[in-house]
Amino acid sequence: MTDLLTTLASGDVNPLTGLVWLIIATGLSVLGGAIGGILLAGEELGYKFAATIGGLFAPAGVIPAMVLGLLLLNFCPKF
Amino acid sequence: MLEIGWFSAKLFFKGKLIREPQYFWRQTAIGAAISFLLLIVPLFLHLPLWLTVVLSSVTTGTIMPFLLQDFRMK
Repeated sequence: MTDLLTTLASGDVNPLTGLVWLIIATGLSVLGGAIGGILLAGEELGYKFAATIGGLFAPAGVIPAMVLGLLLLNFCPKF
Repeated sequence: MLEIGWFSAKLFFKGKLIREPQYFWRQTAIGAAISFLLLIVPLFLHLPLWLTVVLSSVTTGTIMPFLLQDFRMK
């Protein structure tokens, strides 16, 4: 566990830390999507529903980008 | 709230939620491209990885509903 935290902090990307980043990113994107949904349609749809729909769509954009980005980092770890 | 999400997700994977798949995929690709750039570009400026991950996820998450606001549900 300590090793994992060390690797995460140092910014090295390997399959394990990549997975952790992906999970973190997905969670954050749902949060962002809920905010975006509320900003966009909170008035019309009601805040709960808008947040749900927003949170549903957000990962669709984030996950592919994250996978691509982490793969790239995996092949060239030091920019 | 969770029920709505679960129900929509089920419909989505059955391919019955979205009326115009092409539009949906195009907008998703735009969102993914923005997210990808936000993730990679700050790394060239030597920002720590965790910061770029947080930035890119939250920003993209927030703009996705705006990108997909015109889509039609069945």
